[in-house]
Amino acid sequence: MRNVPETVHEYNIPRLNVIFVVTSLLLLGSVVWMVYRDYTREWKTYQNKSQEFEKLKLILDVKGAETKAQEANIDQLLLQLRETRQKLDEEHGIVAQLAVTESLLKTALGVATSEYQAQKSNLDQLVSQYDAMVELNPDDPLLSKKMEQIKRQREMLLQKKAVMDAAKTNHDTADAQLAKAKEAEIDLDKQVRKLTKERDLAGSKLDKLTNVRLNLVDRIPMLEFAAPFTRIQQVITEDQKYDLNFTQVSRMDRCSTCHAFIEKKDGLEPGQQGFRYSGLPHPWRSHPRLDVFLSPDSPHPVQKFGCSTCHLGWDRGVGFMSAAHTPQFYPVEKEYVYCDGLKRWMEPSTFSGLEQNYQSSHDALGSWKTSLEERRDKLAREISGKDTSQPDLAVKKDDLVRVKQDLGQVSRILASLPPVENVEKAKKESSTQARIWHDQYGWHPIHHKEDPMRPKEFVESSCLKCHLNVTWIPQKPLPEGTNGPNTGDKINQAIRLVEQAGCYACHRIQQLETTAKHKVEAGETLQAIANRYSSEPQMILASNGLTKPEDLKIGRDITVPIRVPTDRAAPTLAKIPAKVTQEWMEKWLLNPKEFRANTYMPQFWGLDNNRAGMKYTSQDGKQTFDWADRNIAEIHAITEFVFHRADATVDSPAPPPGNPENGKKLVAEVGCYGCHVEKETWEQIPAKDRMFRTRGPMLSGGGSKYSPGWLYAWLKDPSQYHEATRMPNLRLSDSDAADIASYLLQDKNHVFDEKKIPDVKPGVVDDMVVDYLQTKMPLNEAQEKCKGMSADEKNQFAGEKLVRRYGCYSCHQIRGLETEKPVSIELSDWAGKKVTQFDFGFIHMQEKNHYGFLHQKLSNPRSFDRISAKRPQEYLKMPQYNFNEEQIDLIMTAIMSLTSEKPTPASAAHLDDSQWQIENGRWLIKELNCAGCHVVEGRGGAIYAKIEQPFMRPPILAGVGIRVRPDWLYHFIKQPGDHKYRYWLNARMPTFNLTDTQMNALIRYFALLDKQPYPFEKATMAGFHPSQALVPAGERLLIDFKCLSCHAVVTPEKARENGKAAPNLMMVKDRMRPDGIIPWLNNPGDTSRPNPVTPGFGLMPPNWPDQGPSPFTNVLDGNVQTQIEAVRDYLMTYEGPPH
Amino acid sequence: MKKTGIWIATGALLVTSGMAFAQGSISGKAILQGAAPAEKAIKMDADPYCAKTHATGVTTKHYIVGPGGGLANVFVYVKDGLAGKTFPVPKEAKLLDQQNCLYVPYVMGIQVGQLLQIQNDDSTLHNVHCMAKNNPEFNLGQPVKGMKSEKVFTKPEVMVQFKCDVHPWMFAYVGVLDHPFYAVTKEDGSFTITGLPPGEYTLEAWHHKGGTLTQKIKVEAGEAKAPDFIFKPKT
Repeated sequence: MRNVPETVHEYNIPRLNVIFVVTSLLLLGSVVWMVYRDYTREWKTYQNKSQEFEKLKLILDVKGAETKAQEANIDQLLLQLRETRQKLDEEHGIVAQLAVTESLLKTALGVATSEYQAQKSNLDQLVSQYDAMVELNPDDPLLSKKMEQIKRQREMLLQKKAVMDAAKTNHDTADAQLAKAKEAEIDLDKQVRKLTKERDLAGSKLDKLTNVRLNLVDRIPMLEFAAPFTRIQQVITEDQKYDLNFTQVSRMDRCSTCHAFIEKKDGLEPGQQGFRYSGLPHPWRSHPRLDVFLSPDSPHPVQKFGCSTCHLGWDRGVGFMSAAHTPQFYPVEKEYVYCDGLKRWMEPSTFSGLEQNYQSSHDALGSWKTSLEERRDKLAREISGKDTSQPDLAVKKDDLVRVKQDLGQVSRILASLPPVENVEKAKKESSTQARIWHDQYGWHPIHHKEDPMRPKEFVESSCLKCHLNVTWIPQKPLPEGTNGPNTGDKINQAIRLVEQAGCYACHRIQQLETTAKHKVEAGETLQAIANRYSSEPQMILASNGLTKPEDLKIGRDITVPIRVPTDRAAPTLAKIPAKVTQEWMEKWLLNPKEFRANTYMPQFWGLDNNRAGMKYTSQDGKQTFDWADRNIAEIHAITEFVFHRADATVDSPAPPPGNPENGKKLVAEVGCYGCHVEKETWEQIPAKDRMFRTRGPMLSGGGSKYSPGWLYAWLKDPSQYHEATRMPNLRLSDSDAADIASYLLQDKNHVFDEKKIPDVKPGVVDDMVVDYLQTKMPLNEAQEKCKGMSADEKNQFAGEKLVRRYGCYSCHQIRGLETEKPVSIELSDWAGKKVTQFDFGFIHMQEKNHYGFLHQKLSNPRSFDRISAKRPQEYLKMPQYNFNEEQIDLIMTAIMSLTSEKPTPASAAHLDDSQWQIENGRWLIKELNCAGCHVVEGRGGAIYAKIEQPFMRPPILAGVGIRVRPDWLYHFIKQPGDHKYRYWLNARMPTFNLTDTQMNALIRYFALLDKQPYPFEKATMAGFHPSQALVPAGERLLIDFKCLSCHAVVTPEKARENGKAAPNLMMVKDRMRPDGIIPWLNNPGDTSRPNPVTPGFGLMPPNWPDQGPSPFTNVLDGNVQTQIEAVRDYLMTYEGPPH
Repeated sequence: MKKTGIWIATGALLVTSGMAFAQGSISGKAILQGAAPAEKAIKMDADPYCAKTHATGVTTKHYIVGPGGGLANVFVYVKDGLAGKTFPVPKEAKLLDQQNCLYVPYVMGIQVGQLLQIQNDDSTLHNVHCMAKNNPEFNLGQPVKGMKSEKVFTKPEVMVQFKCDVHPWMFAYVGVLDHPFYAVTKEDGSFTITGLPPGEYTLEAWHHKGGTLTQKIKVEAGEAKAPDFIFKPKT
């Protein structure tokens, strides 16, 4: 026997066993931990909860269907159903019987027909035999016999025919009966379906509801893997790409994983009771304005745009922090309510919405249960002890079974429904969103995400990414029954404010510029290109660095600037000495808002880095100066420089003495308030009118500012002072201009007048000059050079340096500096900058981000180097605009929309040719501030608040393209004074200094807006001939309708005294489009009726109420359309009132 | 025993039906405290027809004051306290007439859904311009005497202003309510609102110059007397 050697182990088995057990346990533990972590993932808890809300919704839906069924009076309905069913059964029998009869008759008809056919051929044969016999032997004795035979046969044929006809009639009757019976059958079938539909709907939903899987069995960890009903939801948007580590990747938005009902519509009328997704707390709450966002029928369907395109954030994140949620920027303390059942803080409005949802589900189920119980008892009483074979009782018996079934289901659901107490609040607290989020989701400031979500206040900053090249970002009207700001209001106001404050003048903002790329084609002139884009030849040359039209070579790619403002952001300084004194300007520069509260002229001196009392060291290091003295020296130097550079002007002669009382009246009447205010501050002007009424300067303090001669001349013709000015010519007479001037000069700002500018200290000036000189030379040389300069030379030298440093020329025209580039950095991709690129200086912020920096920069631009040790010319120079919080918020919204991230062409808001043309006009309307006086596309009419009587207001410009002839419009805009169509108005249409390109752009805009063809084929009188037959009837109607009660031309004074006036009908033939009068007369602006031509003041009544009948049946047979044509034809020949 | 049961049942029936049909009414008075401002002459010469119908001249009639300061043409209605209840819409139409270039009556009430007839009794052109805010605005031309138009309001609105752009002095105010509990004060300033279910209500009185006044009132079966609405003259 071989000796088996004992196995020798290098390791200790028992110890190994221990290790094995321990690692197994660890592994098991980690698996359990893993499953647990997965099972309790944040998003899964939200999805589980959403099941409960779905249940609430279903309950209310079912209840709705049930109520409908009940409303239809269920007893009657059931009986009706039974009867109808019976009838249907009978009808089935009738149809079957009829079908048999019909087929029998059909056979009979077939037999009769064939017998007739046989008889006929028989007869035909006999006839031909007879003919042959006649031909052979006309005297054949057999002929008469044959003839007899034919006669007999013919009679038989007639008999057969009668039989056949009878059979046919019988069959046709049977056939018709059958068809009718079949129709009745279908009809009854439909009725049965309809009768059962509501009930079936309720029933099927109830079944569905009972089947909602809410039991825990489906939620056992691990088992739920088999058929998970929580899963990650995502939308991948091919069009919306972003830069991820230098690669363009599609957005993969997983937001709806938690925001489960984000695109669910409530489907309820305002005020209607029922379940509202919009009344749920976050994350289940539905998105606001689903008519604008997310829905497939909205302009921004979620499948195409996703979520993070607008909201930003980390698209793939499925956790609160990982998605990079950002709390509201403004740390406003608000009241929050704690919902015990959901373990969640929410705003009171959301809380009450949730409570309502729960309460109405409970109420609905409770009342349903009661009504079912009542019905059950009633039915039981009615059939107890009775013979249920009778049809109406049988119905009730059936129904009782059903009611009992329903009742069981409803009771079960009610028992499983979470109690209303679940939403009962436990506590209330005032807090900020950031703090609430911190408590609830463990939110903390994010540092490592490049594009955290936009705070709620700035979501509209995303609009500009796609909506480029438009003046107004398109808006949908607010849904009925809602008020408050509309979606898009903020960004639109923001862009307007950035334009008005002139941000773009110092900081280039490409988003506010519109250009087109163009390749010069053979035979294309510069003017043709300009016309095509509604641009100007000079601008095209300048922006392509060309000087002569001949430089435009064929095939050359050029950029065509479109919609370029005619004037700079601020008034010209090229002729400033004629307007104000040097002393006024120095005082103004010290603090412009002190003189005019609404001005966009910022303050440069006396700020956080150059306040009086702050010191700086002189260039040689030997002296210490106060910033107060330096400020005065700078202001003086700039003023000296600007006045020196200005054109030599002769003093305007003093105006003739005016009547300030009349001037005041004129200011209110002629239309100044469309663009100006007198003393109202920005905050006092209604928000919708601000952008229009702050277009021109405030009219206050004129007496402290203007040279009287200048003001008088300016009022009479602004363009003689500055050709490119935005101020139009109001065609004031000499005395009117003198009156207005005297009124404006009456108002003085005494505080301002009494302010004294301290004397300039020569030492400070020298140091300032040396400061700028020594950038080019050594200090001692600079000092030497300074000593050799006269006081004036010093001011001129330092003045220019300072104007260049602060960039005055960016907004103002200053001779010699007209072509300088904007003074500051471009902002076109500011929002795309990294936070690390911002210098927060000594400013402490809890969270350093774009918004914080921007807010600080706009509210106190110099605060960043408050305790800095720089040389004076190295200090921050952005001036202080003294914006209010609302303005800062708007400008932040606009600036945060400036990113270089571009949408793909497929998703960018695309403008077709006619939309481009409309946009050109829209831009001009904005630029000329037409909406200060008129309502255009629903916007504006700012002056209306100042004119009480509607008939005295400038007209609403709607339906212009339909009604007004383009040639007339051209002449009117060119020379408004020549056309006295609304002769009684005090407000005057000013004369604008427009080029023909601009005029055409406007006219085309009005035409295209009303979908009229351009150029205008039908719009003129060409091809139109008034019907001479209709003209007399038209005249008659004009008298009968008493049109001249309002349309009689009287003196303007008389019209105003009467309190009514209507346009001059004698101008209709020149002004109105013949085809445009018809819709106008059909419905001149009654918005309650379809297709009003203009939603006007509604002063012109529809004379043929509700499309007829005509009140005058004796004219043209009372035919409304012919009467309207007659009036049109008469007006087209109208020369004055009929006699 | 059986009889007692019947008595109890009958009694209960009587009590319940009595409760269901118990109705209250409110009566009261609108008073103008102080002298009414002088009425202004209306110049109707822009339309000769109108001038002719008032050959002796015509003034505004903003304040029609009866004995004891009773103020006529005040619209009194139940503003609050009827929420959730619905009331049948009267079948008969209400008439807003235009007589001698004035709206008659110039203050009236109507229920939502009730037919409003607007008639021109003048041989001149009137345009009925309804300046509703909550209901659709409309404007009808009525160039012929006897022309009648019919309109229905769909939403409550107090008050809907009517004017005529041809005759700027013309005006009427129509109070549109979703219930029938309103009244316009008579020449002596008195009003009565009947058929009210018992309850607590807020009454509002509206005068087109004097503004609005409100008071709370409790109505039980029978007549409740509302304290006087006292208006101060305003021009």
